[in-house]
Amino acid sequence: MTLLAIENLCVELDGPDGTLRLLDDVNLFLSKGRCLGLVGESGCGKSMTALAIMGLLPRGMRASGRILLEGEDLLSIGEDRLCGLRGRKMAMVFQEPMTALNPVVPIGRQVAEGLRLHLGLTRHEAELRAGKMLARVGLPVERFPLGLFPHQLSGGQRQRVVIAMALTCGPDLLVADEPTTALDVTVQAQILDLIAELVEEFDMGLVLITHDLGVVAESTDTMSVMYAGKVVEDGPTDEVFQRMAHPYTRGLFAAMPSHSSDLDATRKRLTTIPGRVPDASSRPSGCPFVARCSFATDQCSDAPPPLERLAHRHSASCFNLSRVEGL
Amino acid sequence: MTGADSKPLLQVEDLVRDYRLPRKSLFGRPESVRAVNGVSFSVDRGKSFGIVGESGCGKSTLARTVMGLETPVSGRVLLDGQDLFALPALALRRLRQKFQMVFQDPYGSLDPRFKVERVIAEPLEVLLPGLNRRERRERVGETLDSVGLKPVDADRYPHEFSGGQRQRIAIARALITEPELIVADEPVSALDVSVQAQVLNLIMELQERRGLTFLFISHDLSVVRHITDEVAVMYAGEIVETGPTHKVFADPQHSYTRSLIDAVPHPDPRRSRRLRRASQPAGGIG
Repeated sequence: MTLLAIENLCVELDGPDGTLRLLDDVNLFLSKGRCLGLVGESGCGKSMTALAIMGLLPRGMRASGRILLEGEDLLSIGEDRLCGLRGRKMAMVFQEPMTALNPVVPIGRQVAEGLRLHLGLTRHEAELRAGKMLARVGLPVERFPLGLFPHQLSGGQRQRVVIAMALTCGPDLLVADEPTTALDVTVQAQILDLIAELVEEFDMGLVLITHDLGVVAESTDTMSVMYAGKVVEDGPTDEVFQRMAHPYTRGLFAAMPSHSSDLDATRKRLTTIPGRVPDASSRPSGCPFVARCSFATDQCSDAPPPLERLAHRHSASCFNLSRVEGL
Repeated sequence: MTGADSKPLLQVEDLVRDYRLPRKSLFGRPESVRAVNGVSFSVDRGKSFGIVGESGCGKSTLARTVMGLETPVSGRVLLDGQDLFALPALALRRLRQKFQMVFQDPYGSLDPRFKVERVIAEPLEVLLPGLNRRERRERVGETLDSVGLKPVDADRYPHEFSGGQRQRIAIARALITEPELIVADEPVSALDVSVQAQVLNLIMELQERRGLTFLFISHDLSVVRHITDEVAVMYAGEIVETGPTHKVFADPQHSYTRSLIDAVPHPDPRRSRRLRRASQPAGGIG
């Protein structure tokens, strides 16, 4: 069953030099109990997509298209209704747990806040449930009293509190924006395991934003590769990894240090993607990747390539798919 | 290990560094925490040595102590046979020409009010005060060129550059004194994977071209595996395992090293799928 369907989402911002298009015709689908990974470099529109879903776009940005959460278009309902959905039906986990938590409010009260607001529980009932939720994410009340403040916890523990906050009201959709980027690798593994368990236990849908292809490979069912505000390749994670049809997907993959322990692999030059992501103000009229792509032809500068279907659910937008895959 | 003819460039011997904690009561004795506890290793000229570990394990304290920015409680740091902490201040200052540092955050480590030329040339003011303006500018231009930037970039401000370019500027600042040893503390952690590859390539290229020695500190195991010859794994202020990088990664002996390596996500969906695995109890680590 489709939980989240994003159709033709565009986000625009009026600037001094005209209108900038930050997100350009983004389409994404997510079913219940599934995980969708969004990957790309910084500045590609991953976080912008997350903010658009949550209705948290900064002032002055206009979103068009449709964001359907269980059939309800989040872009056409008002702020009041959105407030009722945020935290209740959909919740978000942010990258930096220290800034996502209020430093002067005890963790118990922060986790209970959503329960009191959405479910109208009393403070006592809410804190009781908050304690249970904290225990579920690995912070039992006996060792982590509700009266603790965020600064008394480690980074991984703080991220657990943020996850507990997001999950207290049992949302259907969880959006996690780089939830483990600020954490150590062993803690990252624990947090990703925890999120995966909870997604299954609560039968949620998860949108996982990350720049780490390893995390995508391990934790997601489907993935979308974003570049300069567009989805350039999407499909089931194993198929995308197997084919890597778009040159950008290939470039990202090739730029990673190898995972082999061979002595030969040491100090081998890494493949790089020359240049960087173009700003929203200087995007080319054709394919956004044209300036950094080694497969680019004249055609690529003229018009943007359409998203072409490669298999049942796998598509990529590139004019030179056959040449890329022929390698 | 140390033959008479091939003395290691950097020797760290039994280094200990404590930090004092705030006193619990006004008249109580302040307690202290041992951040680095008896660490020893040596790095041969032209090699790169990696130090991996999680936050709080003492790797940055170790880096700062090797740079002579912190004074150890006991132990020695020998650069080219000279004990950093036994040298008089002026001699240490002069010796600093030989070892430089690159920091993690390319946004925080460059003064936003200075033009790139001044940022890069700053070490020269102390080490080679006799240089006139033209010579200085020439040297800045050459150094910028060697890190893949243009000499004209000297007249721009750090904010005009992207993160990867800023890290190149930070590397240029380290290179301008023509050092033998560069201590790099998480130099690519703040960068996107494509830009990270560019900076890593630059580091490997400089190492080959100039015969530089690197002490490379990172929490990212795949980066360390890729560019270092030898590696030490730190845990709670101590080195728990050390050896040639490919050996340590292929056949880790210490359980902590193994858990670190296992925690690195693999970019291959067939190898492991967390969601499938989730129904089984999660593998606890540590």
